[in-house]
Amino acid sequence: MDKREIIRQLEIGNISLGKALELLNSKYINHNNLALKRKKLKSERNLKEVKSKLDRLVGLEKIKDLVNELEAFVKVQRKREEADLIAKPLVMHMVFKGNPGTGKTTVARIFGELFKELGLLSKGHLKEVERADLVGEYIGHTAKNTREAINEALGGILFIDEAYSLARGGARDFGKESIDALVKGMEDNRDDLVVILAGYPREMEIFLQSNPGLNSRFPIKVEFEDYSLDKLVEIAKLMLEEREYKLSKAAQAKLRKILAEKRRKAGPEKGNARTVRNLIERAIRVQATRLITQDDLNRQELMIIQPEDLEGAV
Amino acid sequence: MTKCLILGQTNAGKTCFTLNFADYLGLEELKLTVKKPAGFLAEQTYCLDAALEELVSEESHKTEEIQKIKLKLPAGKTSQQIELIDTCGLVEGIHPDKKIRKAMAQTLAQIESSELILHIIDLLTLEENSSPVVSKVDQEIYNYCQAEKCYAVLANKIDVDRARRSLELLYNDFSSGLIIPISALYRQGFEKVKSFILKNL
Repeated sequence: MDKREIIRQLEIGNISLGKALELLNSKYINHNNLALKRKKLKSERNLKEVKSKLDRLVGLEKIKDLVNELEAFVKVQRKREEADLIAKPLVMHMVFKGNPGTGKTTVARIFGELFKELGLLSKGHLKEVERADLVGEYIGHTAKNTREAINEALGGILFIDEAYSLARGGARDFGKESIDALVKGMEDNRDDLVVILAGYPREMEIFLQSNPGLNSRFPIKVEFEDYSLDKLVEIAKLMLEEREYKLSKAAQAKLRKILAEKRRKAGPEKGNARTVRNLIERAIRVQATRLITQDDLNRQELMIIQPEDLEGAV
Repeated sequence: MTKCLILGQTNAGKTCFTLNFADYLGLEELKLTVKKPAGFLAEQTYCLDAALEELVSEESHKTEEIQKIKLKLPAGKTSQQIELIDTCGLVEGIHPDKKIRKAMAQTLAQIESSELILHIIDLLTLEENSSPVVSKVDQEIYNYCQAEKCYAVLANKIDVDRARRSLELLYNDFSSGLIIPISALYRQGFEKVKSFILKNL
């Protein structure tokens, strides 16, 4: 009987009101899931906020696509569960490959919040560790350290920076022990933990190739591409905007020149978003020293970064 | 326009609430659009006192047809239109009167198309039972609407002292829902209802 039929039966007098409501209920409601609509609405709004944070980041188109994909996947799996279909367990462990300053940590932090809003993680915080936090000095320390890190990350994301360094050293290095403990921890806490391995592209590739078991446990691979010069200038503008500063036209050209110079010398590993941030923070200080000697400054002058400020910041 | 459905068992105070609430929101003249069970619409204009006198009574099933009142609610700088829909009371069992059965069916059908549901529960009938339990009809309505709609329970007749005890019971049984104690007759708790509606427009 569908909804209309139930209501018709009630009207004819075949079934009582209580019976009609019961039928309506059993048909349309999953009783384990008497979720409040008000709560749902709230989480939708939060989800939008988190996604808008991601949208504010310059570039990273692939990651934005990935987020939409993950969101759809989680929601459809949830719906399938409600409809009593087989729902694949959600394995969300990831590998982030990218040069320094391409946004790996920033994105990981946003992913934590995102997974929280999607209901995959209970807390959604980010626990950042590196080799030194996991690998101990003596036998037995490593497993303990790793377990502790996992416990602290429960409900959120365990972000292992420069993860390839765990496989560094020879056969007697404790890094291997750490990887074993990590894999075990991942299996034990499958429901409420996401592990992200991050590092430089080439080293991560070798690391994963040499640990086939590890490779298959991290189904999501995300590549962070280097920013183009245009994107970097855009990032610089955004960073300055957040701090209520502006680049003058000449300064923009200057910035581009400085960044191109850096790239030419050290390759793209050096000239990324972090370089821009450092440059800008220093330029702000240089601007301050330039302005301090002048009297009666207007609002505009207080905001503008001139080429000489950038020059001084290099 | 947001549709706000008011439902509940007979004699819970649905019509009384609707009229008084409309007045509380600042309506001078009540234009009731009545959907007769036969299917056609008719519009009647009342002033509040006459409406209260004519439409509210202590007998059950005073309201036999769905009545709508259109209202403008100030929301920020603009105003939002809402429609209060007063319905025929729901009673357990198979009602002998065909007209009322039809009206109840209409009420259930309305749930589907309304955005907001206000479910009025009479605290006194709860209290009168020897072993106070929330009636099955109310429970089923709660389960049904809670999952699907923006939904609030209005616990009516809070002005009577005896009602306090059954209010506790209601809080227990409907722990995950929103319960607003009101008195439809003396207009208590209306500001909470108003803010609930404004929040969920």
